[in-house]
Amino acid sequence: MPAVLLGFDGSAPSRRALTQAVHLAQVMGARLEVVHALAPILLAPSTYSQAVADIERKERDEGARLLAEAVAEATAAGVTARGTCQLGTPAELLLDLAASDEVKALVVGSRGRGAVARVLLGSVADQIVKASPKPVLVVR
Amino acid sequence: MKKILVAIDGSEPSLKAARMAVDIAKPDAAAVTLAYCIPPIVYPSEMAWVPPVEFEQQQRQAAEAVLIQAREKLVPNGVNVDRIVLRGPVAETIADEAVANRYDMVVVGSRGHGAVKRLLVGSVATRLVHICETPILVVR
Repeated sequence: MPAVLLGFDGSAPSRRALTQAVHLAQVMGARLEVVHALAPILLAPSTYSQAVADIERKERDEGARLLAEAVAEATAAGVTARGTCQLGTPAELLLDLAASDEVKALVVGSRGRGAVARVLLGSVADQIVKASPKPVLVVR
Repeated sequence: MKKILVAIDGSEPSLKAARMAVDIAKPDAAAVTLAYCIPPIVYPSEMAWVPPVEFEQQQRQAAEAVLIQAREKLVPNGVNVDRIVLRGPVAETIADEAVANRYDMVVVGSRGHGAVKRLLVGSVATRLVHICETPILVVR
């Protein structure tokens, strides 16, 4: 089954991207694959503490909650959807998944939570537009 | 989704963009508009014997011809496809047109006739992704 891939971090542009992605999946007769990237915390093993483990768990939980929200919105619109939460940088994660033959299009918000507010286009959207082998929909 | 604007320059990626726009438009019975934007170029000296008005007419005719050709290569499947010729800096003019006439989506080829071959994304697509307030689909 063809798939539309959505990068979702819960930011306002990514929420608007979700609406567009659901619609795109509808018209393309595709399922929706929602991806949430967890930033790896780079620390020397010796400094890895309970506090870091707690932060990681919190981020995983938050990611799972966001994905459930997105999947619920897609399902309500009659689109088959699935959420994936993975460790990695968002652009690399999305581009890796985009290599699959099933993926027919990618949808991203113009900037996520990471971008400085005055930036019109975040680094993730920029990298994806430049490197994606598939059509990319950028939503402001 | 009611109105989709496609930036056309006659290049293969722009025709691919038009085909995808028609596919997206079909389920919603949305209208597709093919737009050719004539960039503000320096009046070439070898054209100096042609009066400016006539030169502009020639540009317009050439633009119309590209749009008509693009239209002929599409299988509209019942989708209403019309065309417009615009004038001005390409990315800015397309972005303004999309807002002014309330398009729901802009579709553009990843690079047009102008781009250096090794570039994956041309300057017009890159600029549009940065400035376009309407959701923008970049088709490779």
